[in-house]
Amino acid sequence: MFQFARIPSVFARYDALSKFFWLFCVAILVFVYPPQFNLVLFFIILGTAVFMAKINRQRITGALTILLALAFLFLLGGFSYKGETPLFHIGKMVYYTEGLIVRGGSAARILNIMLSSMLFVWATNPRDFVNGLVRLGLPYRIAFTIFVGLNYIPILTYEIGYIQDAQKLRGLRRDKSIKGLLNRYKIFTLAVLLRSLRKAQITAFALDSKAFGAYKERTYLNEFRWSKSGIAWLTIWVIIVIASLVAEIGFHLFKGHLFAF
Amino acid sequence: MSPSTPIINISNLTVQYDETEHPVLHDINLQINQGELVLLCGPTGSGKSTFAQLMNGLIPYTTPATITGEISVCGTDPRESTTPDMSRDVGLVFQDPEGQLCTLFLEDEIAFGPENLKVARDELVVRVNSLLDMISLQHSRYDSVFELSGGQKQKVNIASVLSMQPKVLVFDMPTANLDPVGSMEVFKVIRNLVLNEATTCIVIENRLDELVYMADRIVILTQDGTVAYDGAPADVLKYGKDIMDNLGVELPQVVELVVRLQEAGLQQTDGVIPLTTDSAAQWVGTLIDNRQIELSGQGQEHKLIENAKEESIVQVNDVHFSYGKGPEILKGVSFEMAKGEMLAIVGNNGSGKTTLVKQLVGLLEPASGKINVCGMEARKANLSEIAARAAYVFQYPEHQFVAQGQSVFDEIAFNLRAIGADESYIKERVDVLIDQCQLHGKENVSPFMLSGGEMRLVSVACMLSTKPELLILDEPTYGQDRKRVTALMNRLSELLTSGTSVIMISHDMRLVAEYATKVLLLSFGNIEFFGSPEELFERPELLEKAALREPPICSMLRNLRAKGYAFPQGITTTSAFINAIKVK
Repeated sequence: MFQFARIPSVFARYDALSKFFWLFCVAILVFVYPPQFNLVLFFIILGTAVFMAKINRQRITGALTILLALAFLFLLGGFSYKGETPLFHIGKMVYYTEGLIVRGGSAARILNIMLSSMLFVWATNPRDFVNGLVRLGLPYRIAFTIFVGLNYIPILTYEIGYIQDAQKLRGLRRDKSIKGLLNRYKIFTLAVLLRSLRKAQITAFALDSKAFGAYKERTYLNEFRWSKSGIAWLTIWVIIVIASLVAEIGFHLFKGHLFAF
Repeated sequence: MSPSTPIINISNLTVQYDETEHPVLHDINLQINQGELVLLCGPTGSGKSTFAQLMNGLIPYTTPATITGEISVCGTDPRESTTPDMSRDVGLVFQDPEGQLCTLFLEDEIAFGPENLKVARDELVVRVNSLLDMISLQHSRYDSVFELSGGQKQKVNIASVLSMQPKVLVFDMPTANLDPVGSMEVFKVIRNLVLNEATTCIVIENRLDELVYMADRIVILTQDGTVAYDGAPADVLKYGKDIMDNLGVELPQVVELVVRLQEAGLQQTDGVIPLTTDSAAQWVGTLIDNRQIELSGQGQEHKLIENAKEESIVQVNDVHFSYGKGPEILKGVSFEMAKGEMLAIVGNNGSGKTTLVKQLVGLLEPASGKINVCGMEARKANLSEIAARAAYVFQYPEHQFVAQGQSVFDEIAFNLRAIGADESYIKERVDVLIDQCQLHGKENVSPFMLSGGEMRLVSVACMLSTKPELLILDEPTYGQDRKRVTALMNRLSELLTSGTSVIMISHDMRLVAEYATKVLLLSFGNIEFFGSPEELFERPELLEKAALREPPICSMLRNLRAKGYAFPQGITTTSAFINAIKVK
């Protein structure tokens, strides 16, 4: 669900760093824009995912389910906001229009940041991103530590499934009390930790055995290269960011929503 | 290629880990020449992996140890170098195909080592392309390494080490996790390296059948970490009985046959040690021609079949299953298992074996069809009820340990405590299980501190605590030496006689031939065969379709029958062979 998928598309062809800096552009815009503009931004990102990155329906639906559930939780938080214009009430709890605007705005911002990050993960080969970070000057030993860490997602997913099944069969589910639940998580965590440590030790051995860190620098089969289309895409977004900042700071076009989180 | 130049020189080498009382390797003297293929064998705990890790300096670079004596690997003393530096000359392929993957995609994995060695990009392209061709995975070069099969992953691991162009390649149990197809893929690569490259290969392996005939040398270690035997395979394996009985190493089956024949009274073997099924067939044919042995007309007689009863313990009727919206994993599976049987479920990776047994114990629910286990309908019974009567031992024992590392006693007692058993009964029951599983002296040790073989026995003891009617084991012999395998299988055989039924998932066809009363062959979610092992091994076309390998003795007998020797059908083990002949 949250892994890179090799799908040939316009967006996938952009270089990793252009896409990475695009994330910063989105992050700035969500704080500049008011909720309604954030909603527009959300659909732009969604459109980018569907049409430019060709992300399949299953992933999009999965992501939207999670994001909308999160948005609902944010909106639910509107009950704690004391406003002046009641919108509706459930029993003694009143939901104000101001609460909807504030929490809805926060939800839209978070959704945009999350959706754009998901799009980045789906459409960016982590290797290209790591190589790009090295190009920016990050020591490769540090950059690759992140990369190797990504290997643990699929391994741990399998391990966790096995451990859950195995422990169910040992009767760990019998005790339904809070104490039983806590004990179960403790045992589960210990098993996962021990298996992870064992796997990590093998990986550490493999890294050493493959000369990782032998030199201060290394070569690359797939060297990082900026793509013209990526730079063009990023340039458009940088222009939008600058224009939005000028509009907000210079002309208060977005009515002071900047950083009102 | 002529093995001549020493590339590894070891004299009076002793290695002791800082936290242990005794050396793990003791007074080792070895000289390995360039281009040699050396098989390193020995029981669990004999120091085989320590030896492997010493070769590329992981010991003492990452694992501190006191090393005395002389050691030189490609002219370097591991004590005076680092693993990244030694990796230029020595490549190490580990047992776990997944844990040693350093990147996410196939071509990156192969390029990873030489990239670290600052090999120029043009050269990287050449090396990656030629290795992808060598392992026949050129079409998958952009795929995630985690989507490959176990055998393919291990081939990628080998390629990723070869890309660094090492002079010495060490394989530490490279096929322990693999099905027969995966193992064959790996052996094929090793064979290619030996025949076409000048690479020195040291292979640590318990299963010798597929490798022994192409090895230049066999080195066998004792439990104390000393060298018991070192020499050409035929020279070493003539001490087969000692190797098998005292050192606990599984012999190639054709060599085991020689030992069995000697035990049966064959006096004169002319020092002949056949290493292949063809040479074994020729040798046995000569023995018959010379009237040293003659056919007695007896066929296979399976000892355990008499335990099987009319009543069934498992009934599976037209079961279909898919994970989510994925492809169908089980496609209308139906079979019935009688009480008191030992059923082996075999098939290549992805054939649906584990999915099927998970349905039996209620961890998965079939999309359609019906499963009855121990008189309960799996769909309706709850997990605890099934688990108490149908126990499932996972492939990795530590997955199932739940007593938070307290002690072996607590671990075994856990299930009994969970169902509220009386403490005096628990003590009595755990003592019996410790006795039966030969875990004396380990009662107060944390199960996580035990060897792999001992962990496996603890996990079996845990699942036997509630006296289940059905015991299911996933790869019961994984990572164990012959002594442990024999101990475990004897225990399982005792269970059969006491009325417990056993299901085992296994890739070990010799084990299946020796112990199983029934075999269920799964292939892509369909049952291709359900019957006795003897019947299965008489159908090579079926084995080929399911990518399985018959025990070597079956190949030998097929060869002999083709030459006109009238051996009866159904001989799949050396014991059955001895039953079928008379030694004069």
